[in-house]
Amino acid sequence: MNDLLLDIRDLKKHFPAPGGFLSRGAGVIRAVDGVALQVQHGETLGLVGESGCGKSTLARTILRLEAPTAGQIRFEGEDILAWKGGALNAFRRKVQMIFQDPYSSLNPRQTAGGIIEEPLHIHHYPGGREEIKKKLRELASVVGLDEEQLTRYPHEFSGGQRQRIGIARALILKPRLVIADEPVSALDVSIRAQILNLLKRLQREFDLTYLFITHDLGVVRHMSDRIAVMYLGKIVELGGAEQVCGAPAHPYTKALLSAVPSMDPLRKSERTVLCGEMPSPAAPPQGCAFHPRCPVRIGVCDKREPLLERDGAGHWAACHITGC
Amino acid sequence: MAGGMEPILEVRGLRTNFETERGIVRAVDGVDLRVGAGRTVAVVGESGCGKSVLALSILRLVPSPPGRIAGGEILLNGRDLLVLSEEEMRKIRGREISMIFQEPMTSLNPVFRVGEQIAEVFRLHQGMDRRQALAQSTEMLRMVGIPSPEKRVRDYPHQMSGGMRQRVMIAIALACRPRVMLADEPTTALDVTIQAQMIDLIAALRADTGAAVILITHDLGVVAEAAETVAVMYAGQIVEHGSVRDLFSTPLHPYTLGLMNSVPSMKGPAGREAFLKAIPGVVPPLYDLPTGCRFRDRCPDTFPLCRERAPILEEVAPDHLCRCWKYGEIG
Repeated sequence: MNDLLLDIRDLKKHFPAPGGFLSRGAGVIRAVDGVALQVQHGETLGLVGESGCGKSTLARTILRLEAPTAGQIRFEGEDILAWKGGALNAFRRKVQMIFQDPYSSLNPRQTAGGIIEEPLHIHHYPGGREEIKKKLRELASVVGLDEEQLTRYPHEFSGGQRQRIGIARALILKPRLVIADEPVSALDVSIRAQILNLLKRLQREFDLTYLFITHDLGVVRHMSDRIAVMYLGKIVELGGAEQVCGAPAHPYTKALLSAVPSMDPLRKSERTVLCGEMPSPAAPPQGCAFHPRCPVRIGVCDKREPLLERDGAGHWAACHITGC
Repeated sequence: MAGGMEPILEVRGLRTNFETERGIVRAVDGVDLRVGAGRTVAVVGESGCGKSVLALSILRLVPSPPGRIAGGEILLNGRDLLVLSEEEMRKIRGREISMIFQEPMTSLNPVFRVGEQIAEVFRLHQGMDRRQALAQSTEMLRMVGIPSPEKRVRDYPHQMSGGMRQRVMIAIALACRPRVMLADEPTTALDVTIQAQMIDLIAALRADTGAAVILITHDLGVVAEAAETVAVMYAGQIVEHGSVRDLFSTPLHPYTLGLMNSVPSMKGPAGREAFLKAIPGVVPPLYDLPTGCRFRDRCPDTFPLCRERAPILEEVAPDHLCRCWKYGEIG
């Protein structure tokens, strides 16, 4: 492959488990437990999984908002975990985040314009006042905000408009990688489509690479070039969007896909409804973490952990039975 | 309207207003709806379309002031709920009509064990003693599929996952075998695999108890899976009403079509050049609606008439109603 932007190797992030009143050091929560991912420049890598699977922790660890327990993260070929001070700041200019809830992630006492230009001040942008204003106006029009709206406060905007503010803030530093964590989950259906279209357009205009995190399979298929499926801190399947959605290899991916309500009432789907819920990452099951819920498990599944293996077409899955 | 058999619940010309600083807001503006035993009617729309106010109005739980039910009838087996006293209404809530709310964490009381919260319904409505009511609560937890209910009945809400708490909410709503179940976005806060479990659970319980279900949601996929009839709401009014089958195969209203095109499907085009046909603009504020058709500013095919006169909900095809001039005689 040509241009590797982000290279994650065997990344782990464990948190100390809150013990009971009397027990101390009750163990660890394995939020991210051995993740390897490569993101190419210019691509959209979708990361799907249910709540608690560790996808947001993974994002925070990549941004170095959390210190990893183990593993490597290389960005543009360099080891970001070794960086401090100035080099770390330079990295943070290049990697920006779009959050799920555009209300709680915007400062209510700042105007829209102030919010969008703040990253420039934080990173000591060398331009003068006029230049900053010019940049601000340009960006506002790119994301679809009117100039007069820039003097308003977050509560005066609708959810969709607020997300546009959040997107403008993420883009003002011209980042290379944008991590979008459930960017449309809190929005209404018709507004969601507007924001998804905007994100696609911006990717082209700004030459962006996206790590797109969501639990919505329709959205992830629509947005992504490749999709990684995460379960209990691990990647269980990885491949091209059409490979993963059209011919899923892992039973968990199959179950997720079959749980998506179909818009065709004539085809009330034959669903594989998974029983139970995702186990706690503080006590993951032995062997394959998915085996207690797996409809096709065999003897070996509760004994040995399957490895993420690849077929000839770049499609990876971690499963003893259907693995690639 | 579509529905066929004798309805258990029928809403006729319901109007609910809110008095705000900016004037009167007609949150529900002349809504008709009916649902029969063992059937599900879905009410679909985006935030601010009035679907949740409709549900609260049916239970007469609209906060007043500023809200007020300004007109119409809500008939439960032919009896108008709007003329009942508060005392009589309280006997209906929970016993004959119950509600499943969206956020199970905020709707359950954090300082009481879940068993006691279910038991409260039995003690209040059926006069059971504490022991009987608790035993019955355990049975309810078993019915909604919570494993080891004898233990779980002693849990506090925070000890349960989101899916479990939603099951508890459903158990509370079903405790008295109500004839009507109102479910306001019952699966929105849940993951897809848990959502699928909930849709199946509500369907099984509906078949079991013969309850009529009004499902309020913004998710068209959930509608297609779980309902027989659907009403699409926009800015306080129903703009399209029909069987799920008709509505999904031949959507009539431009708003319904726009909603369907806004959802990235698992079959549609994907990839770099695939853009969604989004509905432009936003829902107009209810205190400042456009003249004529409320959807006209966002509509792809408007006529001069759309600006002048508000369209009415008319039967365009058998049992398929639509509020749009496109299908009117003049359009």
